[in-house]
Amino acid sequence: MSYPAIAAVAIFVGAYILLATESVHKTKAVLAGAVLMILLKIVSQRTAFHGDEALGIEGIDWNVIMLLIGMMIIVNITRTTGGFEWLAIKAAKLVHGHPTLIVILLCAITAVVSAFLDNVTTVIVIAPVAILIFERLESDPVPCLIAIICASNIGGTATLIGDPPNIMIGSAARLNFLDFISVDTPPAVASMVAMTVAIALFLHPRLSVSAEVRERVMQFDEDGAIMDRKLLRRCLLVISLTLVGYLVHGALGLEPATIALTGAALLMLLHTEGPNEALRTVEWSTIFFFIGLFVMIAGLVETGVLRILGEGLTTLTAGNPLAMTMVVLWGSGILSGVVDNIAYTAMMTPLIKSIAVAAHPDPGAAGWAEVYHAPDILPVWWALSLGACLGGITTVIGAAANVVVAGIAETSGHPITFGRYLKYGLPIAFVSLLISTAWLWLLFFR
Amino acid sequence: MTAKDIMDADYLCVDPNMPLKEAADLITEHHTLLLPVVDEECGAHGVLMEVDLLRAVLPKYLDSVASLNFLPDTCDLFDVDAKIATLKVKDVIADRKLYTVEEDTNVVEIAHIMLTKGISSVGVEREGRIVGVVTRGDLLTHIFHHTLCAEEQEES
Repeated sequence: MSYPAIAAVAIFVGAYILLATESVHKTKAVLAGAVLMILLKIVSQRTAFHGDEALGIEGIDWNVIMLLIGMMIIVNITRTTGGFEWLAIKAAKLVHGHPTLIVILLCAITAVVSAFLDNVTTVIVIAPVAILIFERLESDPVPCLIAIICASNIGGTATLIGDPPNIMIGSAARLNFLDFISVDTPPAVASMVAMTVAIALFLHPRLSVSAEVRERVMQFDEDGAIMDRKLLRRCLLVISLTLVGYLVHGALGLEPATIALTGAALLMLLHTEGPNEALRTVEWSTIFFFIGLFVMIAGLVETGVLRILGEGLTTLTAGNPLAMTMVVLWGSGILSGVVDNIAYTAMMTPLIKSIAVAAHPDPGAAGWAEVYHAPDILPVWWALSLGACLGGITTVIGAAANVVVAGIAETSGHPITFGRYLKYGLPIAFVSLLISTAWLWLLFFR
Repeated sequence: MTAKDIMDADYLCVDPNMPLKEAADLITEHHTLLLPVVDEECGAHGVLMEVDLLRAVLPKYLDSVASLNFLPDTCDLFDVDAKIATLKVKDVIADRKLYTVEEDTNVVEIAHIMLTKGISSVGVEREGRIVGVVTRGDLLTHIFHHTLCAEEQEES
């Protein structure tokens, strides 16, 4: 390896150690790594910021950044209306305070909302309501909270916009919203069904509450949760239009970020508050984490490090597409339980691209899709998506939503310990990866 | 005019290990916004504020809920005995510092600190020990009383 390659690896590993040990905030760690890559001229600022098509470097993926910003604005304005709380309470009352059914319905709501909106925001709103409901039922809320974590990860897996790894994969591999619906949604739905069966079989016998106590949930007034009815109607209109936009973005030849920004701009126009309030809700720390990550990855691509890793993966799987798909699926699944799946996916997308280029007999002359959507490569993209998203279920630190719910549980006096979470998370992650294995095999290798 | 001229040397304070319930009684009985938390040697340890008592019964995770208006009147979240019975003062004050000034600090500087730091009381220190407290009330009494006296003198 050349000097710049060694330096690039050292910077990436160094930043990664800081990030993983949490000795420095992850955004600070990757931004420091990013500027080092440019300062040491491992990658030029132009290439890092704008990419270089000829070298296969994405640079900062503005499609990902703008999609995240657009969706953050939409979800954060919607959050203030109380609509999500209304939905959760309505569901609990619909099943007359029956605890098992409440868990199942809250999970379904979390999964559906997480599929279209940010996972962390979804659980930040649903988890406290779940705690209030279960405290009212004099029952332990922890199993319900763990189920909500799993549901948000499974729901996020289902769509292009559900989880950051999917947003990154969709952009890098040019897979559109409908592609994700047709490949990722079926295993996500099957995983939700499996989890629901598990809840009914294993959790139900331990959740019994007298009719008298159940009646207490019926005293909740869901309409009291709504802060701004007019704004809620506007938010629902914009979210619906945005979803329609995602359904047709591929057919219209528009990038997903365009749809997200259109939705955000429309909602800001319909909202009486000024733009500063809406923009303040954007999680800039997350946005700069992505920017720093993209720059660091540009350094790794520029110096050929990821090409070498890609060759390693090809050698390991002897170039067998089924073997490579399964190694990527299960490898991503296992790694995402312990490492940050966003950083992992950022590294894997250029790695898979380098494998695609190496596998094609004449990548220079072939069209983009011929190389990167080759029959042997396409299942690997989906394996990465399913593995990185579903793997996040495994441990309580596997994804941002998990950590956030654990924090909420801690301050509410119902802590979720690492071990207790693992007892539920590990089997659910395992079953959902098994389902994905069967699905990918059926879809691509049968 | 300096801190020692307007401070209350007979101030109320609490020990970090005092049960929160007792401290809450002090705050509510004396209608004070905050209590300096000092250790055995009268060194500044922190400050217990009214808002800490509210936070102890209504935990932070509920802040993300848009409105709690859906809870029925019969739902008593303020289950004080269950929630704060085991808590001590030091459990709820986090690492918030008590702002302190030296006893020879000018009152103008104290007013400046109160405005810029957004605080309502400062501890007054002598050789690392808290010897008094200046509240916004003490300061206002001084400012307006002092000004009125000066005007009266001018008139006479």
